[in-house]
Amino acid sequence: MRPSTRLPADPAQLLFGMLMLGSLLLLLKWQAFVLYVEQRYQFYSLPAISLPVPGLPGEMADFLAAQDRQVVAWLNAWQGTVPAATVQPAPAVPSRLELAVEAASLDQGGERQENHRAALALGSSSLVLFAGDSMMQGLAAPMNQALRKRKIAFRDLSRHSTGLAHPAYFDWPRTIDGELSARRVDLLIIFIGANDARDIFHKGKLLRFGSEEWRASYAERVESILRMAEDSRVRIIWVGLPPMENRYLASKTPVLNRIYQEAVEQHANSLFVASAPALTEDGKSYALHKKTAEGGILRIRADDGVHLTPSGSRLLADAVWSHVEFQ
Amino acid sequence: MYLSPEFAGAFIALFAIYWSLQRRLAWSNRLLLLFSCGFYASFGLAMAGYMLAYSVVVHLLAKTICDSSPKYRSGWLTIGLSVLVLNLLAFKYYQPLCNQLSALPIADALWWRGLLTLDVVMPLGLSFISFQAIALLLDCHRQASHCQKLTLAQTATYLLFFPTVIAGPICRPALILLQLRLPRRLIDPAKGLAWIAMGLFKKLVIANWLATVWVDPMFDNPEAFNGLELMLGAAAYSIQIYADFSGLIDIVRGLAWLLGFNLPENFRRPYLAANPREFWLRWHISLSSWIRDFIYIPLGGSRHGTLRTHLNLLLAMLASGIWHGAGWNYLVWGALHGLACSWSRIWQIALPRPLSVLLTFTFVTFAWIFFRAADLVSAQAYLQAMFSYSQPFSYNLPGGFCLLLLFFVFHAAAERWPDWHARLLQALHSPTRLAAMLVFAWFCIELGPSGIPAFIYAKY
Repeated sequence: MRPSTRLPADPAQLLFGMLMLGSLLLLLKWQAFVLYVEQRYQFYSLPAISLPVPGLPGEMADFLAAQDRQVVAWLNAWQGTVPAATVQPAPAVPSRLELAVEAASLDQGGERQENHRAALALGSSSLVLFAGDSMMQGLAAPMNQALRKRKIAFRDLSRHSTGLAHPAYFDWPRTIDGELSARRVDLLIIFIGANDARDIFHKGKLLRFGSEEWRASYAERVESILRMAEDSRVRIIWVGLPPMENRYLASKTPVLNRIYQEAVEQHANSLFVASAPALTEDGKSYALHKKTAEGGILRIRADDGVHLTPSGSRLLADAVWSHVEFQ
Repeated sequence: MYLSPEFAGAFIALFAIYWSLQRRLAWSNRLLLLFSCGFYASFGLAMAGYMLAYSVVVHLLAKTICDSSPKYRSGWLTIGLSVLVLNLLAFKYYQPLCNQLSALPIADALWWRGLLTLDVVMPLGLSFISFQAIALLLDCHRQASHCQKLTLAQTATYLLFFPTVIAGPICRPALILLQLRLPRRLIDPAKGLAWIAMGLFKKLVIANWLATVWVDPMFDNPEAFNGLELMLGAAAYSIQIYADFSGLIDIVRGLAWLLGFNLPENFRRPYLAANPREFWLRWHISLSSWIRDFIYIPLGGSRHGTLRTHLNLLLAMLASGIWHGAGWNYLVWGALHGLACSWSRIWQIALPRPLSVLLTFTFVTFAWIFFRAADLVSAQAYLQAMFSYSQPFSYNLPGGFCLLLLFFVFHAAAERWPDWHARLLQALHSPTRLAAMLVFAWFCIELGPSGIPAFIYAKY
């Protein structure tokens, strides 16, 4: 007689099954687990075991995507509309805006920001890209509202727990490169760095935060994004990190901001906007609240001492938009 | 939370120790309480400390109500309910209210402006815990048998039970307390595993894909899409929130089942409801029954005439909206459902059931727009864009409609899925069973998002 195959109600056997399942799953997804531990705990000593595990077949996804594109093309043909993918790319000759930016780069000191403000113009056919971590997720909300009111298109790529320090977990330069290749972007706004106050594991070597090697490696990542944008004739606004209440971050954010600012100033198409003036009372120290000109008190930072409240995000959004002219 | 590798490892360790203590009920209950406290503490020690103190206060109130004479019992109940309700209101609405007051020009001149700048963080799951605590005090007031000989450990376990503490289901005291007091056995674990598997699939694959591909892009920038796409996007959100929330409930039911606990069903194929009232008998059943029993019926229910009945219905649904959040959009969502429930009481129009189901789904989807939007302005923007058809198409609409139809087909069989999965697991030999579960889990992780995704209802 065939033995019963009912799932036993013996906890020990079920425990054994769960341990086997958990172990095999861990083995199959070992790389993902290593990345998770590195990102969450900054622990880099787990061995990298590379198993020949097949991923999901890409051919199926490509086939489905191709079918989707065909149906979308048919729908647009039926309606008589031109889909976004066929919008004409930016002209090869420098536009009036680009010439203004070029002229502005020759100016010295404070005049450069004024001229850059005049050059940073957005119209109803513009496309704005938001990139960054959870700080950007908060900032993007009021910024999106301002764009929505003016019927300006945008794409929000922001993603929590990401940064430039751990590209194996999430590769921002590659993501931005993909976006700039796929569509015509007019303005890229970046707000990142809250997850980058950490050592970098680069080419098998651990680079301590703030060391010369760390700064060089990190600056190169910032530079790669700026170069990409410059090659694609995309303007960039790089928003600096605000002062933090958290002591660990408070000492590190000025290092990050200095790297951003120095890199941005080397590129005529980009602008660094410090967030401290909008989010502090004295221009430099962390503030949980801020007084308004009308006599009100706004709570601008979240309870973790890092993120912004909706009011804080609105203040910072206004500060960023003050550098842009809406046509 | 429940989807992290840390939780998986901790739960396996709990499972091993818990069932080794099977013959010692008191010790297994203590372990359960310890694990629940540890689970809560992983979100913040201060928060966990506060909730432990909260449990002590609830227990003292419960004991006082139970032990006091009939003359004083109602007074103590009033005090207890006031403490619990004020505590919930303070945490949920203090910050939004202060934000509104702080923006006033006179705020800085107020002598009590320091109160406006207090940093108030709401403990995780407080909305659910508060409702459970209120139910406990009311059961103590009516001298329910399960409230006799209530210990502090039992009260704390009931309130902080780790499968339900984050997002429900809202359990009645009898359900948990009686199960705590009886010896537990591991019965039909395949069912628990099947629930967990279904929950993982709904959350990691369905909810995540809909959010990333359809819902988030459309709600972020509705003006960029054609009106027909936005209609389908709203329907996508209906499915997303169902998959997300019911997926979470499936996972927690499965976890509790593997520890010998039977939690109540919270969803019963809600999108097959033929009218809004029936929808609330099938959606978030533990919340809607709580509101019926502790708000609608105490207000008078349907015992004081037609007008009062409809008013009570509206107030109950407004309470449901406010419970979800302090925004006007939640209030509008609650009001829409209140009016719709009243309307369906008045107008019992005989329509073919498929048409009734379609109309109800359309109404519920329309109301979800207010729930999903960041605020009323965003909801209005989405609705306006839904009736504009000049934008080019970006999505495969026929494919989207086919997926919607497919969802309804699977939704109709939703109740049977756990039993089918469990029977399939039982029918397989051990190595095949292990391989099947491994492939399924790997498939869900491959199609799921990177990182640990959050659950929508965890924020309420």
